[in-house]
Amino acid sequence: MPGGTTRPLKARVARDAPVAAGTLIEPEGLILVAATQARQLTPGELAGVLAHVARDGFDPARNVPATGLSGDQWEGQILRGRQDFITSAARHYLRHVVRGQEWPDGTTLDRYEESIRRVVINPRSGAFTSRYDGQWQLGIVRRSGEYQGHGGFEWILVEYRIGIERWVTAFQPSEGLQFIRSPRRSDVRWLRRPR
Amino acid sequence: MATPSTVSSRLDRGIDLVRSFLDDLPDLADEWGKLAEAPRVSLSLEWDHLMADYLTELDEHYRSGEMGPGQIAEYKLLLGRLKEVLPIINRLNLYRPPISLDG
Repeated sequence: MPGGTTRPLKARVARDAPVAAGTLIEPEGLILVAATQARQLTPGELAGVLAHVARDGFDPARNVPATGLSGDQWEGQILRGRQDFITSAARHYLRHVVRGQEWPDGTTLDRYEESIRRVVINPRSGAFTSRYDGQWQLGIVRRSGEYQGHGGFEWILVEYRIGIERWVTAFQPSEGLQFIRSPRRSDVRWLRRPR
Repeated sequence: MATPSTVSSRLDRGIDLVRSFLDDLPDLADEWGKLAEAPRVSLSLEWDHLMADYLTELDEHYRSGEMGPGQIAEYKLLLGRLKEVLPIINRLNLYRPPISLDG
């Protein structure tokens, strides 16, 4: 794959089973097929990819700086911004739900993650591929609807990154989906428009 | 329907969110190359969200005269900070502010 960071994709039967290097994981392989326009995915293939993406979740590593979250409380401690490292799920929850109020008041971390899964597998959600920072990602968007809080916007976006095989973000973009115009993003291709 | 106090709270929150990230951006930029791929991408995407959605909304309310005097002062400070960090934004190839920084 041209440009950016790539990693060998490894097939697996179970999540942590040892595998032979260089073999494609079927869902990631299909995302690449769609992104590179080798062919269109069938509705069944896309549904299977999205079911896989819904299961993967955020990276559980505690390696995300708490940038912009100074003073927020998490796991009994007051965060000191970039000096503290938290999980991706925690960061996104604190930023978009607790501080940003993009989700309704009282949304727990579990409910936030469950809402993301629901967006991913909803057949009315749109799905697009794009290259972000040199690597292919699958984005899923749906109207925020019942998940829009006081600080929320009109859509919910979830992005999944090939190679990492995890969600890398979930937030609520505004009408027009202008976030797509980032200079770090290119080759946007819609697999399914939102309905 | 959004009440004036709801809108005002929303604008306060938007100013706070953009400012909080801006406060940490210079130090974050120094360590950008040391970040693992996933957090680097996540933070880039969060910046995209701040610029495309939060800053745009703040600017719309500022230009339409819907901000209170205190918010206007804070927003102008924010624009000034964004000007200061433009070299960092450009160096990291982050989403450029999609609004005029000349308050």
